[in-house]
Amino acid sequence: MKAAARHELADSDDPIQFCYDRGWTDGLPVVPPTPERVEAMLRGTPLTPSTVVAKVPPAWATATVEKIAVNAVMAGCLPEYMPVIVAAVKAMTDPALNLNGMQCSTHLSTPLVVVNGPARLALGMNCGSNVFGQGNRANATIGRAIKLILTNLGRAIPGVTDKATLGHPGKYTYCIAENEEQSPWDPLHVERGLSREQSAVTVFGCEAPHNVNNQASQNANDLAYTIADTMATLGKNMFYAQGEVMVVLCPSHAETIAQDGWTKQHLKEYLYEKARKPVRLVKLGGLYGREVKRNFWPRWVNREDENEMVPLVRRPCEITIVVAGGPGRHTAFLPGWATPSVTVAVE
Amino acid sequence: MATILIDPGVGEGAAAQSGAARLATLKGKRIGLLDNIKHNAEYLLLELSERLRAEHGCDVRLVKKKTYTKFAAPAVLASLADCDAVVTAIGD
Repeated sequence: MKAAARHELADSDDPIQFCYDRGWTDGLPVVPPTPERVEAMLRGTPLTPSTVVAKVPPAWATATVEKIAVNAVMAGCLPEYMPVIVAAVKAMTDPALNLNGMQCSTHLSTPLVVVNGPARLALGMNCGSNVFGQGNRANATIGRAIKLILTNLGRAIPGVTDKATLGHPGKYTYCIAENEEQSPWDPLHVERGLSREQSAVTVFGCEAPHNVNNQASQNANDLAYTIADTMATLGKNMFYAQGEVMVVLCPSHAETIAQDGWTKQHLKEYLYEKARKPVRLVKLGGLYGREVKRNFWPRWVNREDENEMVPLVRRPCEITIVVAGGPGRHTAFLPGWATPSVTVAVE
Repeated sequence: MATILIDPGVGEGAAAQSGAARLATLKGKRIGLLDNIKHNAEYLLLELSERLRAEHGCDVRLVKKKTYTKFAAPAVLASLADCDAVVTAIGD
């Protein structure tokens, strides 16, 4: 794969403005990708610059390690973040995620990166208070590098090829780490067959986090019911297209649920059973009638029975549970875009 | 010394694509209509189909994708290969 093109600036050019003028940014200033900075970034990975990692839709441009490094420089990353970014690029371009559709959809979903394993600590990632928020360089810039890659290599241009009606703030950056130390259960990557010592990223196309506030309940059932009720709302893709959802439990909620003897699987099964709406209410939202022939509800759902409960997802394993965040009693629900999350080991 | 920046994207002009050549006339042409099965695409394409037949004498072939967010299956595209032009539509 040939090396990336180089641009020689005139003495009068401001490098940051040059990046703006070329359409290389997300609207915020970027670190100008000089050869020296890109070379330093490349020292963060054993891969050669010409290594092809993926093709990024909708333009299907080739993401070489060098191109990834250029975008990582612009995002403000440190070289040691490179292996996580490369793994995230692999994960998000897995065909199962249907990134091409997600990038171009009118829906506002965008890839979220969840980091597991020792890399979280080695990179100083935040998995505690304000985990979805600002303030941590690794979370912020790894997530931003991914978004710049989606724009610069995928060519997801707002209003042109990115047809999102609204978009969401996660299109600037959207990256968290799991709070494995305060989780009562196996972390996500272990649940998916990797060892606890192996670092991994999971990428999931989803909406922004929706808060689930329950500061009162001290038992698993009440907390899980509150989460299920927040999940079962008509405006999600799920009651039409089904697909995966993610629940990011705060450590305190996770602890309360686990203290009642619930495993992660118990919680998934409870949410699968309770996050439902009757056919008559789904009809009120218009997701019936002409559309009933095109939705993806399980075959067992009796569409003629007004009281039949339509599940949010087709099966319990389509509810992904992550523990993250700091002190407090707030959980988050992240509705998906009808495609599954993908986990890839960090090499 | 001049500042050098490395291009983070597809480079100059690499993404440029041009549209297919326009037909000089629709009269008697075979026109494929690719429905992405979005909610309202079918209405638009059916109306177009009627007008192409009635006003231009076109041979119209309407085919549907299986999933609107994904590529059309190779067999679906192959069924349009002998068309003079193809029109696709989405309709939220």
